[in-house]
Amino acid sequence: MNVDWHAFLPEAIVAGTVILLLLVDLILPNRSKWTLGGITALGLLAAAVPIATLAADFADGGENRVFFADGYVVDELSLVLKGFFLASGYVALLLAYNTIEEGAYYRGEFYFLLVSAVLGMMMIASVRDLIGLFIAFELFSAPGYLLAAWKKYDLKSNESGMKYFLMGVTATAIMLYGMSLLYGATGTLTYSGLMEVLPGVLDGDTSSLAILGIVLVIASFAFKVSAVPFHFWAPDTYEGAPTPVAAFFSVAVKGAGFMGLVSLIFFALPAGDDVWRPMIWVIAALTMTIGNLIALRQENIVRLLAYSSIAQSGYILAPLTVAALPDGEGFGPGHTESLQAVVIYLLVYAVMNFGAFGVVIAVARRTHSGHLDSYDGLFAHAPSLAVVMTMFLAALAGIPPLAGWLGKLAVFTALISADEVWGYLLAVIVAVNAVIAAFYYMRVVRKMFAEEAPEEYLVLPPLQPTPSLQFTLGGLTLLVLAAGVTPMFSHLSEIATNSLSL
Amino acid sequence: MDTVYPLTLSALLFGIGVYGILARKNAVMILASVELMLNACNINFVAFGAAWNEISGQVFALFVIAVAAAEVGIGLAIVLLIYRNHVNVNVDEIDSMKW
Amino acid sequence: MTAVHVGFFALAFVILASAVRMVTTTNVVHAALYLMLVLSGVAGVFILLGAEFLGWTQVLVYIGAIVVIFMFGVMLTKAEYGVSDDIDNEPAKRWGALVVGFLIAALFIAVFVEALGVGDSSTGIVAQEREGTSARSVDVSEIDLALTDENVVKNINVLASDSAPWKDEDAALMDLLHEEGLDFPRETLLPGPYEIFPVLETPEGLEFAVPNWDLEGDRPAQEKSFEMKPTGTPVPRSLGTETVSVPVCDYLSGRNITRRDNGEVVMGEPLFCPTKADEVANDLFNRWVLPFEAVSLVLLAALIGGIVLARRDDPEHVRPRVEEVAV
Repeated sequence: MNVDWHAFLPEAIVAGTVILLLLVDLILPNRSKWTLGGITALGLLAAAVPIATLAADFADGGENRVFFADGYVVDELSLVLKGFFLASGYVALLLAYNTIEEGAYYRGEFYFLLVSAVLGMMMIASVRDLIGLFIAFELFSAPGYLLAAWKKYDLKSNESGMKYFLMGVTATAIMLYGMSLLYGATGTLTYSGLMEVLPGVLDGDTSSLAILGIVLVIASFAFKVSAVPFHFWAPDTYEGAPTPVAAFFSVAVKGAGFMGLVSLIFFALPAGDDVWRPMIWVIAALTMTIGNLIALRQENIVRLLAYSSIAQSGYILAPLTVAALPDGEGFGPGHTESLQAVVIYLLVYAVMNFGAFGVVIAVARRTHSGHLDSYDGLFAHAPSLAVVMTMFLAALAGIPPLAGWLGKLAVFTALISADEVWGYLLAVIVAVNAVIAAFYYMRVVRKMFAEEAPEEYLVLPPLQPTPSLQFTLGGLTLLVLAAGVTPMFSHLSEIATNSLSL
Repeated sequence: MDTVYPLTLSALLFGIGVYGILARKNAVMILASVELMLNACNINFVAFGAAWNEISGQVFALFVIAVAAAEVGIGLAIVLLIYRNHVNVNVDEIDSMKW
Repeated sequence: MTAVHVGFFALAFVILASAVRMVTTTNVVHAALYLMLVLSGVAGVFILLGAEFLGWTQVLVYIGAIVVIFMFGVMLTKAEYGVSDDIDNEPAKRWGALVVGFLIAALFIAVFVEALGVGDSSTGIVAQEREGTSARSVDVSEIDLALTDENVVKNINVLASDSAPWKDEDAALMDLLHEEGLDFPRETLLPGPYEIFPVLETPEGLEFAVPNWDLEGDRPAQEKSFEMKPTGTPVPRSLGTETVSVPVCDYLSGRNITRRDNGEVVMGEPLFCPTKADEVANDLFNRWVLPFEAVSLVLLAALIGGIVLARRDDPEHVRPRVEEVAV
């Protein structure tokens, strides 16, 4: 078996970090366990080096690297997403560092599970067969179930882990049933095989088998990206789980779900577009609308962000409805546009959502509460945090020049490029939702600036986040500003779409 | 044997699993119902593999068994944790968060 | 109705009856035991479907390990050995669940019957008979696949025909090749009703000799010739889908056996008889190495995380301070 070790090096480094963490955790005495966080960070950063060299190779006109019997493809899309997952893991680590070091948590095991999940996500960016997809999914879901329940003595956290777990395994069972039907209809498990066989199957006797398979697989992905009607787990899980873990779920786990969905839609099931297009259309429209409407009446900041992230899932799903539109020989312009919109939205969303969660973590260190009222007059006792939070919320609402509007713009461009009535209709729904969403984001902003802060906080000196939080929030703030006015994310998403031109 | 017979069995098993998930409130029983659904998937993989005279279906089923073992381990760890904190593992009573 | 059918329906009955009891019984210990019955039945179905290795793995892993964990879970959380009335949702929800479960099963069955038909093997997927007879349907399209495979000798031999007269043609082809100065090792030629495409290893790769006489219709005995073609060339004959005799593995002797029409059993070379375990292993360690390694990490993560969550903490070691960030 030939393995392209250069192309596999990022995963190999992360896998090595996983094992190293376990061993070091075993050997180190308790007082020096703080080094584990450093090892994790170094491992994640080291894995970014081969990604950079691979990207340089692609920039020089390198070919896609295919190995593991065609089941693993390292292309530009997968590189962009792998970088995204590594960065998400790194930011989650920074957000979690103080919470984990100070709380009653098992540190070594926490970092071990976090890095395992990152490894699963990196794999999902490259796998091109159903078994690999399933296993990569489990590799980031299983640590997720455990991390959600990581606050061992907090019943809410236990409950969050339980709900996430039960919903997750049910979704896995549904996905597996769908995969088994796809396998039965086509006799193949590889994406390339499905690409080749599926068009004929959908015209043949066993088409209903394939259709049911596609429906079940897409439905299970709707669960993973917390889309309506499979979204119930998300707010409870985010609220109960340790907040840094919730941030990780809402960005990285969701991103991995989208990566799996994107790779299926673009590399395996484009022929089944008549099946999944209306399905995704309805799911996207429902997800953004219901997510936003319920977010309006939330009184807990984490639940508010959870529903906001559900709504954002709807925006990210929307452009996928114009993917794989047949146009003569190939696909219409929406094909590339939609992938670009998904990638750019994921990048932007990661920055602003991590930022908002980072502020929540920083504020909760003083207020010990997630209730919206604890943000009353935040500007008075934590001015910098209030300003930064305002920026992230404004970005989430899509107000230029902060990064958020880029994502919305890409979504609109993709939807309109299809030039179909339903495309325009979905664009209108997105626009209406963007307005609704602005209400609840601005409600938090109003509380921070207009309300009176409790006396007990006013007598304290202004709230200083911990160094790791300061570093993270500072970096994210710069990014949310820079990405809005420079084409850095557009450039990355254009690179990612190179994978479509074969 | 005609492929449709094992498939019918798997469909019924899957349906019973779905019933179990919705009708039970004990977390261990819900997990057991999920196992029924996973077994239905495995029957499908093996039956289709035999029909296509292809071995990958069986390999997939092997992976499903391995992952099911991992999931049961996780599930029961969480159940045990909750039992210790709450002395009950019924999902309707473990419901401190409401939307 | 063959023995396999009888066995299958008996197992299906056991599986479904136990599954129904599992989701309805109010005794959690019984439920775990019913789950064991379901899993055993499924293992039996695997074996009937020709997946012996998987069947025994199911017994080993599922029944041997997973059910035991379940029993632990039941014992550790709900150690009432009698009836418990607190594990079901209220009746209204149960009726709803019944409707949903029934609809899903009905939808799936309808799809399967619509797509595959009952007792009709002419649709896309062809069921394979495995109970001792060695007949199965071979689609001619398999030939292309077989010739691109590196095991080209093995696979060509599998594409056999039960028309006995062809044996003479095989011999005639061998003679013809011999005249051309091409000799093939005898061990690549199996006895019995195989059609033989002798294979030659050339610097360019494998080549096979294709007799270009009409094998289906009348065969003029005079104009016999052959051509050497590279691997990957479609075989110039049209079988269509027809029932032919193929060797099946006799697991006791480890050899291929072919049953002829007259009841004679022909033993083949052991070389061509991989067991199911061989095939699974071959596939697993060639195509699916990466998922195989990744699943070991999944199990490791589940193990370590599970221990952390389930263990009783040493109060000296861990400070149970989880309230500090109460969001």
